[in-house]
Amino acid sequence: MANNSGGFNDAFARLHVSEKPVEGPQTTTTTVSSPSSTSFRDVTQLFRQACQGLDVGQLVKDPNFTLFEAVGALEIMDPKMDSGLLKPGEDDTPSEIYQPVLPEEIIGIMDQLLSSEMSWHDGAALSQTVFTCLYIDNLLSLNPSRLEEAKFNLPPSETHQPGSPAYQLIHVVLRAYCVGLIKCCERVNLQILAEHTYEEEDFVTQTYNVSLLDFITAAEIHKLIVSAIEYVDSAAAPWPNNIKMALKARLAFRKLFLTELSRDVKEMVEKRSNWDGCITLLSTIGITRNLGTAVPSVFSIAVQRKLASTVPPRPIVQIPFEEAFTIVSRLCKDAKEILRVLTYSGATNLMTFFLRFTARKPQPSTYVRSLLQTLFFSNHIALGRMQIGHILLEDVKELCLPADDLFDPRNELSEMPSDTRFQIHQRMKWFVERAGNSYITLYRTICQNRSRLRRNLCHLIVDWDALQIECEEIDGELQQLIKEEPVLHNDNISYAFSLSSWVYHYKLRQMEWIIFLGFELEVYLPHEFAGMYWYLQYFLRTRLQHLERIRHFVHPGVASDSPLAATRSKECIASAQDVANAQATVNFTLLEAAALQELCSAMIFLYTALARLGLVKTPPQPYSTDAMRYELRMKPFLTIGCPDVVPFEDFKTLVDNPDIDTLEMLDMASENTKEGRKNFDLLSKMSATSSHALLCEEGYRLNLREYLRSCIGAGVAIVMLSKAIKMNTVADVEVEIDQGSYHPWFPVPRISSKKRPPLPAVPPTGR
Amino acid sequence: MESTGVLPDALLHSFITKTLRVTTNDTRMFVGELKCTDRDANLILARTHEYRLPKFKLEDAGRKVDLTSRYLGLVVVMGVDIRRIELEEFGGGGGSSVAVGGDGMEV
Repeated sequence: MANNSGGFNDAFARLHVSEKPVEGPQTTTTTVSSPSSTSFRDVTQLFRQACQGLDVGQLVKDPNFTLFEAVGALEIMDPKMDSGLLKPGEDDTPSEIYQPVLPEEIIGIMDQLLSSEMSWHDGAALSQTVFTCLYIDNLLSLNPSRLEEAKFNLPPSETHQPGSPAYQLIHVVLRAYCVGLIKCCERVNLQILAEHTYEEEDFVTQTYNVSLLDFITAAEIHKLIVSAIEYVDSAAAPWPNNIKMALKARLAFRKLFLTELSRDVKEMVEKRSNWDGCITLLSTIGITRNLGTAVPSVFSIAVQRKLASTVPPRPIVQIPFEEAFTIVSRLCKDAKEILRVLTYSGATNLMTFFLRFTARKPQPSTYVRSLLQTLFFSNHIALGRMQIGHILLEDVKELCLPADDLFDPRNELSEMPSDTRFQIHQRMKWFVERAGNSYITLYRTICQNRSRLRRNLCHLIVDWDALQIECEEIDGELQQLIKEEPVLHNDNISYAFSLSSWVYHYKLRQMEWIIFLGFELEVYLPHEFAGMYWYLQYFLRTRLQHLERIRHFVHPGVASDSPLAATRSKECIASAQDVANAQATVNFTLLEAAALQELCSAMIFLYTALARLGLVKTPPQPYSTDAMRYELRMKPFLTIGCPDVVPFEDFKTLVDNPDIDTLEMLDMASENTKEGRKNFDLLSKMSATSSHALLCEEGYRLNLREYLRSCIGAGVAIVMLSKAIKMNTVADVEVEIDQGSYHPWFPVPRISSKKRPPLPAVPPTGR
Repeated sequence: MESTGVLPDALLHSFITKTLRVTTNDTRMFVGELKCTDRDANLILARTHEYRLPKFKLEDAGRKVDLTSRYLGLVVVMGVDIRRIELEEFGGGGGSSVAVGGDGMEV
């Protein structure tokens, strides 16, 4: 604009004189939307003429505006982009809403609304679901701010005289249900916005500037629903009992559901939740489902024309009732289940719960995963009543059991900077703050959707790697402060390094999860399987060695008769029980890691053998090489200090094992599956307490059974393959990789003969 | 555009970042900030609101009518679909006090 010449100003002034504002039909509206000091002047002619002076392809644009931004613009008059466009012959006048007379139709609308609501929970936008209901639109279009205003504005109708049952059906029963449902949506939206989730990926929180009855309290709506239930119950409502029951169940469910969605953490800690009530009412809704008559005409995409939306129009999504019913039932059950974390029973148990709960298929809904984050940590309080530092230190103690002196409560009381206690306390405080943040982030990350979990873990391990180095330094300082006695370990004199040991263990687990999730999310191609299992086996072996070291250093505590014991406060001395617990935890973790390592080793040999026999083929890679792909896979681990990434050439030799004969390789794989199976069997025999699965025993055992199935499945594949090699029938063998019937981390190749029908998958192992 | 004595793109540049009210052939109006245009008078408008004329109660014409509006953000309007282009001006539209080079016009 700076280079506009003065001559241009003149021209503009002249033009202004010649182009008087045109009086047209729009004049009545000119001042409506704009400040009164502004007006509009018709420049159509001027503009078009000026445009014709431009060259083809020449653009006149704001220098700050990029064409990249323009890609996101909505194209007006394009039916795919313009939600305001009328179809040919379509009228703009809002059509009258069909007003049902029969209670069956009201039941039908309520169930359709539930389907819409659950479609929203399942990831569709409000504009595709709840908002497409003309009754919801009617109720919200006047932007009610008080309960009295939250009502339908329908034209009078002969069949709906005020006071008549048909009138009450809509204005009492359906109204209460709709108001309740909108408020439920508001509560859900608030919860999801309060925690970290992925907009448009997990959930769409967009409300298009429509207020979801924000100013009306749940208590008021409660009363409204109660009075609707009373009406249905009364003699004034002339319907058969089963209809009354169906209407009442739907209203009552709405009431209870809203109550549950409105609870804060404090109430949940006090165990006032009543999801069971919701579940009971849902079963009544399911039974009376057939009484409803669907009324599709009260849902319309035309509502999108009114919504303030910067995205193109989207089709209506309304999942079938059965599906919606499954989603809402699961939501209630899951929301009830996550309350278990409030009965805290140790940090390792808590972690197991998070891992097992979020790994469930299908994954728990976004709402529940968001609520779990809130339960875990909100307003600087963990699990509604605890300090996060407490849980963190318990986690450290459960695995590594550092020296008692670090946890002596008297450390905190010391105010003398030169005092050892003071210095210990300073370092422990640092640890709680620094590691506490990483620890919280880890729990929150586990609550994300599976793809995001994998992606975010790649970032987290960088943080945990840095944390490990920082902790090593602190461990060094602490061992001097507590005058730790070195211990002989693997021919070296060494110290416990408890804090950094704990961090390293978690870091290794996260590195394993990244690759395991790669299998679960089907990131890897079959020809990469052997290599990726080799990496898992490498990480697991590193972790096993590390666990052995931890076991060696689990602090034996101070004998109570030693002179040192007298100088310590009683509560900080590790009891024999603590020592036994830590040792049991380490032993359990060792067994679990060993079992996984055996299975991974079996998979390396099995998939390498398949590749050698040409049964798993490398697809053509016109723009890639194995080395480039390897670099890509290792990218998350390249910056990690320990363990190292193996150079590609070494990696190839280690995976391919060119010196070992294929049959010999399969024998080794068979040994591995047997060992793995033995370990998993041992794990299955352990109690929930010693498996740290107190909060999720069922899910934990299911997971173990899936590991076992993969073990057995791999064993069968190995036998089939060996047989084919020995009988020289490899050419007749067909391989199909089964992602579905086994543990998602261990897809198993199904080996079959081309001539015979394929064998069925291994049946589920005993329940 | 020889008759006006200015280069066409200079004139068009003066419209950039100004608020325009564009009426499309289906009688909707779009009020937004001009970001970009070309030979066919295709327009890119930012921070755009859509206004729809009420089809009923035409007897109310002459009085102020409330238009239903909604926010759309960044839009493209094709030149062929445009019936009218209007420029927002301050000060009641009269007089010669049009701030050609001025910034800061708000929707």
